Amino acid sequence: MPDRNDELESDDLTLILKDLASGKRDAGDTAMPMLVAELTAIARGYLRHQSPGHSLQPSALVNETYVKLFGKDGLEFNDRMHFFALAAKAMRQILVSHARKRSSLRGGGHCEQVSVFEPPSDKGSADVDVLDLHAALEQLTMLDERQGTIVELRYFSGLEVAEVAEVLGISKSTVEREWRVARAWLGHRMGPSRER
Amino acid sequence: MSRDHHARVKEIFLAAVDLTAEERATYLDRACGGDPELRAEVEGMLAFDEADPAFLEQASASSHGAPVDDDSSSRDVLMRLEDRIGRESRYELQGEFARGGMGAILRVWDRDLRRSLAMKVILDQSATVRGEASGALDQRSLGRFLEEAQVTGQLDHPGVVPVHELGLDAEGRVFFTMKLVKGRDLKEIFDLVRTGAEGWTETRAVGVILKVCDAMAYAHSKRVIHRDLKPANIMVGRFGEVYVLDWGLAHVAGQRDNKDIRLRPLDTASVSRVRTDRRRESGADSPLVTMDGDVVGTPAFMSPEQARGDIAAMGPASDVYSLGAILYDLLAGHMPYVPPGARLNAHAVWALAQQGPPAPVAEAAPNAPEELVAICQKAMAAAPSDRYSDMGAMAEDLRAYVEGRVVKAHRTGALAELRKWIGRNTGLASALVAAAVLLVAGTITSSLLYIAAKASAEDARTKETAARDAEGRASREAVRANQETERANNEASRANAEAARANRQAERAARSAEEARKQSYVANFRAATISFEAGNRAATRLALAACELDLRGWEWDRYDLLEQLARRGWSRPHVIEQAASRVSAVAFSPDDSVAATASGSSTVRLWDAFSGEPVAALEGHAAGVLALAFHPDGTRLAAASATGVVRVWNRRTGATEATLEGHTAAVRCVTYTPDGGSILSGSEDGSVRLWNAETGAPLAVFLGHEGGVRELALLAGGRRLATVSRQGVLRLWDVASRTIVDTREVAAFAGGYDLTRIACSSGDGLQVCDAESGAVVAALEGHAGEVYRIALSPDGSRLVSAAWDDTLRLWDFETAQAIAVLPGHSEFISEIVFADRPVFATASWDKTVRLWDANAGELVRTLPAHPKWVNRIAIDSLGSRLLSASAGQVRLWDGVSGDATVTWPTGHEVRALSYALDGSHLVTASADGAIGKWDAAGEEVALAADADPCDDPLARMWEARTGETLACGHDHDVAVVAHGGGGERVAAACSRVSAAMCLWDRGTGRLIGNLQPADSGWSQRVTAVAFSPRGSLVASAVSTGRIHLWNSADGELLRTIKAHGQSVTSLGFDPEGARIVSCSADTIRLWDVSSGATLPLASAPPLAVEGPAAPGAPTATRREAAGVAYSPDGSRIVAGFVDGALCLWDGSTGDFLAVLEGHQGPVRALGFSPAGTRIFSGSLDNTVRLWDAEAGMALAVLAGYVPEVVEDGGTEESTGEPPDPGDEDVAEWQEAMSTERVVPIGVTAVAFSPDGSRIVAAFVDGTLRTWLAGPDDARAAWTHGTKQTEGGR
Repeated sequence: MPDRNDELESDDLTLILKDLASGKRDAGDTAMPMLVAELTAIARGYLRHQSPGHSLQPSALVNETYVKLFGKDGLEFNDRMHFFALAAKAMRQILVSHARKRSSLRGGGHCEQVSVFEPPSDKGSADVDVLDLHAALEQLTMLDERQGTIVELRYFSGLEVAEVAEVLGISKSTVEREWRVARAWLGHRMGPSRER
Repeated sequence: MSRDHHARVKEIFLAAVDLTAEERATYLDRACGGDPELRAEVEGMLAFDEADPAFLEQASASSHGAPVDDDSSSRDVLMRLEDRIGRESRYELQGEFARGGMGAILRVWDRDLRRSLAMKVILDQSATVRGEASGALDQRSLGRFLEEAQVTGQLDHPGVVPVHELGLDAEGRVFFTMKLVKGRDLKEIFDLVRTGAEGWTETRAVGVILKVCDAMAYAHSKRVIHRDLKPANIMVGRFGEVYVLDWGLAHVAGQRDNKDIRLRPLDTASVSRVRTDRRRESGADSPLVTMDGDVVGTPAFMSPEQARGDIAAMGPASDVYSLGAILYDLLAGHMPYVPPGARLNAHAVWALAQQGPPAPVAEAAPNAPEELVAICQKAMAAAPSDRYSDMGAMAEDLRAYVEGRVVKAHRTGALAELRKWIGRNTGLASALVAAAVLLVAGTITSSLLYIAAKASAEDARTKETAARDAEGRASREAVRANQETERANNEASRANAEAARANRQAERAARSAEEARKQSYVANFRAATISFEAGNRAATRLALAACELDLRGWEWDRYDLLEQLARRGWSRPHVIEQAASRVSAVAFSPDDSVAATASGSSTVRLWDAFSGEPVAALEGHAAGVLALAFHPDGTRLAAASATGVVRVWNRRTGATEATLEGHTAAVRCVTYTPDGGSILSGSEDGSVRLWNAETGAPLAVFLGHEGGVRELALLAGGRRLATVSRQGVLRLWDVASRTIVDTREVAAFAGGYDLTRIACSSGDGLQVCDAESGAVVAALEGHAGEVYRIALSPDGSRLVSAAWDDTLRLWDFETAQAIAVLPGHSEFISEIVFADRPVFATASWDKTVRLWDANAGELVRTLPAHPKWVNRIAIDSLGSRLLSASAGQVRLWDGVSGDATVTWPTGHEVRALSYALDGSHLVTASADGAIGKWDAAGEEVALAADADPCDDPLARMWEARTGETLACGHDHDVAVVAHGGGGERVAAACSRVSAAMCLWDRGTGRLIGNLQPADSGWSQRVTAVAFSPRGSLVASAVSTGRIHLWNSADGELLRTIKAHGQSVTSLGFDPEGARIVSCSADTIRLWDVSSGATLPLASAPPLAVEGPAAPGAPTATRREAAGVAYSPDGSRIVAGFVDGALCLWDGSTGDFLAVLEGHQGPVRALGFSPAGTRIFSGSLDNTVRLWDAEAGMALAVLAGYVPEVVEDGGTEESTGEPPDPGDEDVAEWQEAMSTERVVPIGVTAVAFSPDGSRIVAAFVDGTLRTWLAGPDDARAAWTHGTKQTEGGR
């Protein structure tokens, strides 16, 4: 792949993010494919080196993309938050389609699901099945959009509570409450299929 | 499950979650009332919350901007290390050696083994494993640290310091221990050499460098490059042990480079948010740092590619450079770029390094031994490919120097060259060698002697120096010096003898100065082709101009044409609009006369499509225009805006003719119905509306999309409408009733008004669906990722798809078969557009636009260098003009219609090709009996149908010019056809049945005879036919090896020659008609026509035998000639063989002249150009090659298109990623990958047009391909000064 002039690209994305921040919603359309392309490239690099039992954090990929696009200078906080919000959606899209592709390779269903992530907490939670999470998250979003968004921002982009609060314009305590409920709901919903 | 219910669940959960167990039970009793389901749900959630509070939590994600490595592997290592914590520390800190960018090197005492060691730690104390992620955890430096330890640890070589242990101390800090090396670094050693202290000499220092070479050779063999070699990183121990240190910047080939070792320029050294702990660096005295922030000592030893920041170009050759620079330092007494006494800081040195190479070592070290200078020069060559290819080669030369032998790098002088030249003493090489040697001969003798003398003098001096060495090598060296002097003397006398021989050859060369001239033509022409391929048009032009006028041939004309086309076509676009905001739409009017552009501004602009001059500005919209559509007759233009209004202008007057109001949000897509009477518009408001195109009156509304409509298309003759929403939902409507027929989710979609099928991509892949019902009809298998962009050709024959697997694919839409994977674009494809001809263009975020031939997917052109990613393109109906929009700039590209290559399929495997005598048409005869007639553009011209059927329908002959039937003859496949006697006589032989041949008089249409030799039997057949040049004779060759000569006027058999023992494959007359040359599988023979006697013809040289010849085995002669021909002037005979070689003889004397090598497969067709100056040959290696007919020099290679290898069945994992090991599907996948269907390739026939302007080749797949060397109107005059004309030009 030819060397890209990162500065040029981050300029475009910055402009788009500014557009987004100032409410021009269609700016997201342009940014999305670009982000997805960027994330996919990085994700592919990770996934290629994956060995069985291995995993990665989606937020790590998002971070890497952020650095790659804006590394030297970074973004204004506002724009940065929009970036992560978009990136969360993009990341989710990529991972779901990757998981689908892999599950179809194995001949259907995700009863023998492919585990892509491992939350790196030392407490050793069970692996999360992307497709299950995706489906459950869809349902949750239909029931409570804000909870769904919070999960997306936290899990796929790795935003902190304070940052999520900033993006959504609500208080930190609200975010924590909603997050707790959402997590419990999802975990309960995803039930036994969660375990590997 | 409703939102209210969920809200209740949330309320109860939150209230209950902080209660104690008993309180909780009571609360739930109360809150959940009598709803057991509700309670079960809340309890389930509570249970989960308690059991797994960290679900979905991700640690250390908060350091946004902190780059995370492939941290799973770092983490793994650290986890494992963690297990070993708890023991009492084994090491006792004794002191600190050094402190570097990210780490420090300490001296510690190993209590267990009772020895001192060096310990390297990460400097940042907060780089802990367990520490809270406060943003200071720098995963990347951790990864790098571990990698250094691992790389160093795995290089098991005496020259690399052994790594002992990788560990974590009690505080969780990472470290690794290494052997403690006591000694001096090379900088200090060099100082000692300069003063001569401690017995250090230059030669001894070279010995040290040699050991470094060996160590680096080992590292390179393990695919590790060091990237930071400098004297400070090389340690010499007390007993001469040499160590290469500091592998912290090393790179393992094939793995991700997690370091950024590019140097950071001063003015952009702003604080990076990537690092948390970085101090601001400013000022010229600040240290030079890499992008990662590591301090770089001095860039004087960096390879040019590293200094430039071109890290991708770095490889083992970069380490070679650095070692060469170290040698430079030794020889010159100072570093490259830093003259003695100068004080330059690192930035200044870097600036110098970027400007060019340092002062040549020969100048900087005038007293240095020549061999070392040569080694240094070679190692420090600017281009990596000019340096030693690996450390082993450099080590060899260094060792040669140290041991007193001859150094290779030094030996590329005249002597070595002369040897090589004389060695090539076969055939023509000798002639041109002689010519070249003639020029140099005068000087060779003297310079050889001089070099020999100098060498011996140099050697003697070196040996004297060495003798003074305390190491006592003097006596050995003296002996060697004597030997060297003797050898030098021998070489001098040998050189004398060779010079004498060269003089004799020079005399011969004087007679063939022409060869040298030709050689220079070939060299210039080759330079032109290389420059052309590289895209350097100025150099191409110069090289072409340098070719001697009278030596230029077809190949020169072709590149001349290509260069002109490249110059004129598809280059230097008009820049026609610079908009402040993104260009949203570009379009050509249907008559291709005008281009329209729209952007965020509310004005739509029209431009002349040929000159790029502005024509009109259409005003009226209140906001940005998002989409454009021309009326089918081109008189009107509709534009949709962000306000939801669509405006229709009269293109010529610029007046608004209609305003379509009704949408409540931005309109994203708009199109006219093919009759121009109505307009369809799709909007963000979720509706699609139908309007009267003239009055603007609303006619109908299609409601039903939830999100905005982003795409719409009429299908199936207008019976169906497809609309796609932003959410990716496709709805198929029955237009008449406005009801929805089908709904599906799509990522991309394409359809056409005349087409009854559509293509869509979704999670189920790329599919073909019926446009009426929406039912899936076929699947296009092949992409490994989701397809996000699809385009269909207007005639529905081709489909192009781009997917997230980074590939672009071409399909036959009608048969749902894959045609090709198109290479080239490296990024996201933003648009694909088709012209009305089989041409399509793709625009990508790699800032290029590419044009493709839609038949086979060949890349026609790449339009590069847009300012940013290209987001919109439009192509005119002929595919000769293109609009591309990138970053607010729109470019108008003008291609020259009429390509330099024309390809078309015939549908048959063509066995014979011939041009009509006037060159206007091409006639093909195919294996299956089909005969085709084609014009220059590849259009098939109908051959006149036979009015009256023949009673003996054995074959049909058509007059190539008019298509009229000549006569009937065989009905089996026609194997051989020949025109003779000015086209008046025609002979055709049938392939299978008999040895008979039909002979017609074309003028009268009379069948002269069915010529059959008396003794021919059943199994014989005619294998070759040729007319004598004046047409009075016709010769036929038979499968028994006989040649029969007939009188073509009455069909009388004149003579039979028992020519060969096997089937004659080919024969030809000389221009006088006095001789015939014939070939068969075993021999080639020359015959006198009148007597039938054999004429002398030298045999072709034997095939080169590989490996040791088996004793007693006969040397292999060249076998299996496939074809043979006389040149038009009779001076040459050429034959082509199964091993791909051609042989050239003198046509009058029969002397063997040359072997023409180049083809990789059997030669299938050959001949001479009409003027006889060029030989062409076609082979199964899929190429046609052009050679100079006089000497056989290779001039051009014309290649055919090699189709994509297609796999049979199965979902293709085209990224090539194997599934995880241990996966039970691995075997299945491997099996799928191995069932590849190989597509046959090869050239089956070649013909030169009579005017010499084009070459046509037929390929195994039935395609014909023409390469032009002149514009389409080939009979237009070429003005090339006094150039000789070829053929009819």
